[in-house]
Amino acid sequence: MDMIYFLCRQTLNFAIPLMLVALGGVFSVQSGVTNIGLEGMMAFGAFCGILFLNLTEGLMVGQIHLIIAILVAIAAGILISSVHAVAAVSLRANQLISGAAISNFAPAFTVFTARIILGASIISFKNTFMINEVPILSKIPIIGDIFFQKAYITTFLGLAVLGISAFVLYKTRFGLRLRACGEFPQAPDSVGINVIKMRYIGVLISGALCGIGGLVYVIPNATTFNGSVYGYGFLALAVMMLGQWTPIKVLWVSLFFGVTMTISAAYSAIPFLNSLGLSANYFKALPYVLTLIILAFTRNSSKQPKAAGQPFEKGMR
Amino acid sequence: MKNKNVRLGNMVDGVGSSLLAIICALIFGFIVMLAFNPSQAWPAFLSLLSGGAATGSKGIGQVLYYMAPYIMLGLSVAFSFQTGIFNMGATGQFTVGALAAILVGGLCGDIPASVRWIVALLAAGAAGMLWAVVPGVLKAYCGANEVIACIMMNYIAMYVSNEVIYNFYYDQTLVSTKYVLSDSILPKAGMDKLFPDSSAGSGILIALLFVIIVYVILYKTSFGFGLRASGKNLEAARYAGVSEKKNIATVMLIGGLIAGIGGGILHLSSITKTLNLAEVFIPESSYALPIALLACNHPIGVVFSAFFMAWLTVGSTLIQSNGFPTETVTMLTAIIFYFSALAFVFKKGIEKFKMKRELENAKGGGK
Repeated sequence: MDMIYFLCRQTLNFAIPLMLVALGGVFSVQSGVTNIGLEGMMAFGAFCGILFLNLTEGLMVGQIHLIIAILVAIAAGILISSVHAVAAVSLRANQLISGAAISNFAPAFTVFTARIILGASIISFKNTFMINEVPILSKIPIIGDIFFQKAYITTFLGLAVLGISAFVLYKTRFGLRLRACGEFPQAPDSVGINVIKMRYIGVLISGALCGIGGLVYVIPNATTFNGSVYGYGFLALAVMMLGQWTPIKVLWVSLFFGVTMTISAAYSAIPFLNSLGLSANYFKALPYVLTLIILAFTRNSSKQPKAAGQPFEKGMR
Repeated sequence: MKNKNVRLGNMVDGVGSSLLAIICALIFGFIVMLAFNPSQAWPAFLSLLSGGAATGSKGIGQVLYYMAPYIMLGLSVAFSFQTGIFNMGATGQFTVGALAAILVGGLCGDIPASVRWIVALLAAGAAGMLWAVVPGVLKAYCGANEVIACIMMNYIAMYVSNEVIYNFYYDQTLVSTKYVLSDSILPKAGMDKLFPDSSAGSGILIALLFVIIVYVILYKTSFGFGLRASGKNLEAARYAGVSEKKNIATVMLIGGLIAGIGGGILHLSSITKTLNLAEVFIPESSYALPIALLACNHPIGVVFSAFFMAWLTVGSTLIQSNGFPTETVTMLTAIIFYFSALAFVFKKGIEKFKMKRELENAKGGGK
């Protein structure tokens, strides 16, 4: 039974960052800007957060330290996403190219910076953020074991972000306007909504969520960071598409991927999988292979916001 | 005659916008270097730019050595770009191509040495094609997003090649593949005499041959015309009877072939170039998109942008003495990549400016 709880917690540790980043993608695409820079924004957010943890080690411990690191990661994510926003929204450049450029830039920049500041490409940090047991709540059977033992506040932060995203996108005036800018920007433009501004907001929110996602991915799963998030941001891109650009479906898809990643990370602890005698590389490739298979059998591009990827020019028809 | 002038004008605009992108990127890159190490930034920047020229004929040879796989990568991406496909899969195709070439060059000692390198390159091309089949078919017949499919194939390539290397051709001290047989290396074609001590060989000649082939396919055949037409305006091409699905699949396959051979060329040009067992992509493969974009996706342009990137790559080996890591050039490439997205914007800007001036001239002439 402990084993199953462990796997469930592990799944959450993988699924929550994936969901956060995919939600970031949702905001960007719903506003009409394709964002394949998720990977880079994630790496950059994680880097700045971890660098902060490394440099301030000993000055602070515990949750406050983590919260400030998250704020740093958010700021970093917003900073780098603004680079994408300038190219994609203001200058009307090819959004795929500038996104891909950011995904290339961030890992190189992080290693470059780490080498110069710390003299090594790998940054280490002390993980003092795990909450062993939440009083009272951890006594609830099953739920307590999964959510309130050996937990991270980031899990709850992720779930909160999910709720807020769903609410903002579908129940507020702002969400309606944002989605209109992704679906048919001429319409909001004709009633005096600033499409450029809305798209900027969409991309910047996306950067902020990627920043959190990057940091949240690294903290529970490692004690070092080497500048790369191993294609996690690209998986989030797939999660976003398979989740049809809606928050709740994104949650389900990312939980599914969380399970496969748990399998690939912890297969040696699962007797059945370990007895198959396959090497680690097969399990590591599993999430990517599964994505391809699912892509082959789903046709949901019709749900994509119509104007996503198209630059908006005032007065265009 | 007028048509030719227009085409020439387009080319000048293209070259101008790419140069503008490069200059902006270099300035920005220099600012980043300045921010991190002000005292060493200028000398490091100069030695980066001096590139192949700093070490004489050896340096030029090294530039040619890197240029060959860069041309292949750029061609692969440019070819699919012309058809309107955003191909990010060159990385994976390059990896499996390199793997196949190394395996043939290292394990197939039975094949006579005179043809072994040819077999190795063919195997590399076949492996690259194999890797391109999946995204090609998914895009053409399942309507899947080719960007995602290609990226997933890149990661699968990385893990598969790690697995294959570990099981079949692993050297523990190198943490990579073993060296290939010394007679599997591509023929030197006199390059070793021209550029002593460098790794230059016939790779660059093979790459240039492919440039010509791709140019002819794209610009001198009706098949190529159909490809470019569907890249420019899919609806119009469809109306004119261009088979879109078949085109997509074919283009992906040819792109895979070219990228795969590129991986083979890089790893069979120098005996010490092995394929690492690591969870990162081959660094050279990340230059594919920037090279194609700087070339405005034209095969001839690819030669020049590949030359430029190779020049920087050689330059990057020199700046470590100034206290800058080799990642500087990877970062600089990414910045160039970003500004190449803006190159199209620059190009449009230049065109607009010209049109405005022409209009004004016409008005002035009317008076």
